[in-house]
Amino acid sequence: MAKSSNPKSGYITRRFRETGLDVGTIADYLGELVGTDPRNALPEGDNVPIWEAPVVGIASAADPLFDTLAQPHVVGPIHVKADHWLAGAKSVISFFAPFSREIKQSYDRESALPSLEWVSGRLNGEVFINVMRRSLVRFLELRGGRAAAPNLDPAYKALNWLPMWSERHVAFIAGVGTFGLHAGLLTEKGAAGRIGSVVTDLELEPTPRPYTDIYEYCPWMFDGTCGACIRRCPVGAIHAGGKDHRICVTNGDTNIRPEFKEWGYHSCGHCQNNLPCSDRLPKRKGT
Amino acid sequence: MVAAIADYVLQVNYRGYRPDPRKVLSVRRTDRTAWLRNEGIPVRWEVYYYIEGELFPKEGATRLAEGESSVRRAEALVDEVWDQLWAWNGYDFTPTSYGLNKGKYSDEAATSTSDGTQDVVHG
Repeated sequence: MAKSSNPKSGYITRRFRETGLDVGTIADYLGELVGTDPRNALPEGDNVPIWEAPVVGIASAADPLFDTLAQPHVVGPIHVKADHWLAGAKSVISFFAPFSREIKQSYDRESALPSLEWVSGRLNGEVFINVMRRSLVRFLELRGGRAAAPNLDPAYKALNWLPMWSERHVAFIAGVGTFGLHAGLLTEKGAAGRIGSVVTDLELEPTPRPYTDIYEYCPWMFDGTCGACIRRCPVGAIHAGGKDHRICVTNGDTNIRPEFKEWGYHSCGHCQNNLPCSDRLPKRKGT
Repeated sequence: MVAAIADYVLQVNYRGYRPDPRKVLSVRRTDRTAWLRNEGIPVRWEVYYYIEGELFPKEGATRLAEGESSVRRAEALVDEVWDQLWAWNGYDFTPTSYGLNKGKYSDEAATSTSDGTQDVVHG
């Protein structure tokens, strides 16, 4: 069960008022938010926590990689840059929140269906990711900056699975992780998680990217080994060349949603659970 | 929402100004009705926001001025955050970060729009 916040300190953004703006401080801040805010809990059952402390990275809004995202074979022309969301944006903060051990352990290795904890965590967890986005905005505003969460902007949209602001690509640029064959992000805390980001006009020190290739952490894309997610997907949405989002979405609508109709949930998570990359970076040959 | 915030303002200005960091504005998904409660584990199909710090980050925002009524203060406060809260709610009650999602809630089926785009994204 998530711990209740200290009533004497109030809402968590009131803490850390005198601290810095480096990536470590921001990671500590989000880590405390995840660890103490009572909203980081499933509404069902034993109210297990949804998220653990996130991986955080910072990118300069002027990073030339942002220019590439509007190219047709990256995200596409729909994708915009940081200053679209905030005039004068100088930095982008990205975070990857890993699902809690309790939620990952609930995911049955043998079943074609996800666990209730997973499907609930997927939807209710996104509410908490929004809490993290908004809280980070407040954190930066309290330090004299302006900030915005692109995915919470009323003008934000995605068409045919192509978003105006791709959290995964932004996370890659900010040094949080690389892509995997299953199209998820591989980070030092695994692939089972969700991503958020905030843009600000504060000049923050960018995080070094410990990789150069977009699929660098994925053994399949590196040397053709692993491929566990191909075998794991119950509907064959993942193949040697990547992931077919239409098959994935159809599975959610036709197989998962009816099973959890009474609960109101629907998301599959096979390609994020019970895999070598679920909790950590997968081993590659020679590493 | 004005009634809930007015009630909070009334409470924290009783015998001096004592803002309550535990109080949250809870919103029910079905009709977006808002009410006050203490922080705690969220219940199904509810989202909530801390009044002090999250909804109103400025310290003392909920303090009543001399002769000011709680309803008047609440109306002014709600006016400041109404658009923002509407957008927050829109995202918090939808299945992904896809956006306001054309009013859809998370247990409704994805549908194709006339331009062939999907309303709901999974994954």
